[in-house]
Amino acid sequence: MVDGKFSGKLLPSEARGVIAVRWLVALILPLAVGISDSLARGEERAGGITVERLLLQGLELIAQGRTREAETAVHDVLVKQPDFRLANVVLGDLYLMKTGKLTQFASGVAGYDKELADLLAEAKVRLENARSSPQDVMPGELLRISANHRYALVVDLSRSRLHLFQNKQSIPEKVADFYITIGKEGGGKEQQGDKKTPIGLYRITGRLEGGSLPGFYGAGALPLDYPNPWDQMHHRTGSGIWLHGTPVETYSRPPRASDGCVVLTNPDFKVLSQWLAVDDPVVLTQHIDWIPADEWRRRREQISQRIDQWRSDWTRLKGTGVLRHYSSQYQSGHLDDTLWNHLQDGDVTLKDPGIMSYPGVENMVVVTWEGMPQTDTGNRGVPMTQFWRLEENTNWKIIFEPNG
Amino acid sequence: MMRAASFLLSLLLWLGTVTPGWTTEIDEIYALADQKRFADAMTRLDSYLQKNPKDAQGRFLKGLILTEQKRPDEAIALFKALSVDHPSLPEPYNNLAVLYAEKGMYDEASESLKKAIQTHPSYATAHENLGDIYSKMASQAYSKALSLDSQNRGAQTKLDMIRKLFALQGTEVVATPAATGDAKPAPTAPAPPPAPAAKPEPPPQPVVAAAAPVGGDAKEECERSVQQWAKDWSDKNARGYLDAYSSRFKAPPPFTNRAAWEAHRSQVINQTASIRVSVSNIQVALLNPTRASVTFSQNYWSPSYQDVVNKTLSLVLEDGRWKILREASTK
Repeated sequence: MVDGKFSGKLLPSEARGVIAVRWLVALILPLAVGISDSLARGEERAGGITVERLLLQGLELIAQGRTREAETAVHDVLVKQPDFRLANVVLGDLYLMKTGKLTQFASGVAGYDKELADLLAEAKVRLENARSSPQDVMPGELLRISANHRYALVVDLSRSRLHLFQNKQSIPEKVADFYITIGKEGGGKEQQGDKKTPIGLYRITGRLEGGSLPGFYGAGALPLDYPNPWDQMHHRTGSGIWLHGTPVETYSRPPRASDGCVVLTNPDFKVLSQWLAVDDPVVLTQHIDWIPADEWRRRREQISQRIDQWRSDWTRLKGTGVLRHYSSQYQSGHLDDTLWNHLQDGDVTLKDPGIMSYPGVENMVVVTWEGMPQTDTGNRGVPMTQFWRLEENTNWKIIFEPNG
Repeated sequence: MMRAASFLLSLLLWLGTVTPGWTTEIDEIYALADQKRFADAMTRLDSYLQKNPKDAQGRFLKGLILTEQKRPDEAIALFKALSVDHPSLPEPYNNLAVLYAEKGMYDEASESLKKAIQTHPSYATAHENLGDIYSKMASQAYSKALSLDSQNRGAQTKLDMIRKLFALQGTEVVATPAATGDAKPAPTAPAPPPAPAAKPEPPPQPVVAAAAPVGGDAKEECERSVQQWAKDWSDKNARGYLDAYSSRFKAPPPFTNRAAWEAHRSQVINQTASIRVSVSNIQVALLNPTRASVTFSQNYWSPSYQDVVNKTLSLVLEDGRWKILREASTK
């Protein structure tokens, strides 16, 4: 009851202000100060303010001791997204702070250690991302995007972040990035049930509408082709690695909570799935290899020249010349002969290669040629995939063709 | 619901400090209310207010009685009007806040209390109430953060829970949602994702280190394989001839399966009295370390049939041997 007994007089709320929010200061001061610039950049890209950015602005305001404005910001977040758990804790702390009883993160809550640790971890990765989003860099993983794909995804498992790139004349251009949940045990899936998210190059293999799935998957799912031929060659097991949404009344899940899937908030999933198409590439990597634009161009040039030499030798079918492009370690997957039949019959040509660095494997790129029919049959091209590896630091050689 | 005591306390404070005037009429009505004879009190109060419609004390007391009679909306309207007419009085704001809080309208409650404090910065009750409201708001936010208000818990139980929390006031610790003894929800209980749509794709069986033969050798090996195939055919060695074909060789139409095609080929080879197959102008193109395309001119002779065709064999390296994957000919 409000008219119950009260003990002690309260100071005006502002007086305790910053001192009481020790957790916020400890967590945020090093991170939140100076994120305004990157937040503003993000807004320009995404064409509007997201609830995450609004929350982060709230945290920065707290770090600056502007708790009243912070409260307004966090309040606005919750008007837009009432089930954003992290925002609810921050708001709870802001209120509790005014009573002088806030001593640490969510100090008004006893128990729930795991849940609170998860929320703290979520706050941390969201802040770290806003603070250190790099500028004037390119993703070393995406060296060339084939015209078949309007978009490509690169997922940074260490930062719980999914980056969306648009294909601008085969060059990736960053569109937006999203907070994600990955496997409980992190990245590097090896076997079924290890609760890890795979590391590798994948493709979207389908589209499942939310209504056709259990509520657990939220807005829908985009399955991936794990285990891919490279995984299979390395005897990796498991299946059912999807990008999907969250259950009702759960805006976001903790950074590490899935069984290996990549989980987006439902609003983010809806946006993404509008843009993505079946077959679009999805790179899952521990750390994105952000490199300066000139270094990126140099790498792209180097590998492009090498694969063009191969194509030239190959197209002329001049006997043994083509073998110089193959590693002594070459392996063939022998998955499918159809493409080869077409190629030998000369009714398709190889063009428009997708070139991607394989995450987790040093100096390996995957080249995906589109085998396009020479006469327009209305059919889509047949992809031909090659794994190229830099040998002895000098020579790029083909080491694996799944359809070889 | 609010207890009379707080209102009386507020009232006394107010009467004692703010309004020195005191009428016996109001005093008597107050006594009735104190005896919980609310209906009687209200009857007299209404006639009193007809005569003195602007009397702040009378209106304030009416608000209190309405509250006791569980008519919060009327009480809110009354205190609101009173606060408009007497913006410098903290008590109407304070009581308005208590009523808002009872309805779970914490934002309105805190706003009202802030106004009470603006009028009298040292008004202890308003400060205490405000602190209490913030604690409630904090609890509410934490509950949402931990999904304590999910599906199976309605708004009413939530309020009850919060009420219980504040029954623990005075311990200097804000009671936690967990302290209510409610079953702890499992906010995330990810079920293993179902297997993706049927994907009959067989796992690739990598040819372990095809030991990419040196170019020249591979070319010669391909040529030797083709010569051996022609020789087995000429020798009417059906087994050797069929062995030249890869396990992945697809039987050409009209044969629907490999066995039927093999049976037919064996029969033709065995029943033909004599066969001579020679190949010339062999050209080998290596496509990669395990694939090759061989074109040549094939001269076939038997007592009953002869022809010359240009033939292309697609070869694939299988267990160290070049085998035929596809066979095509043009005249």
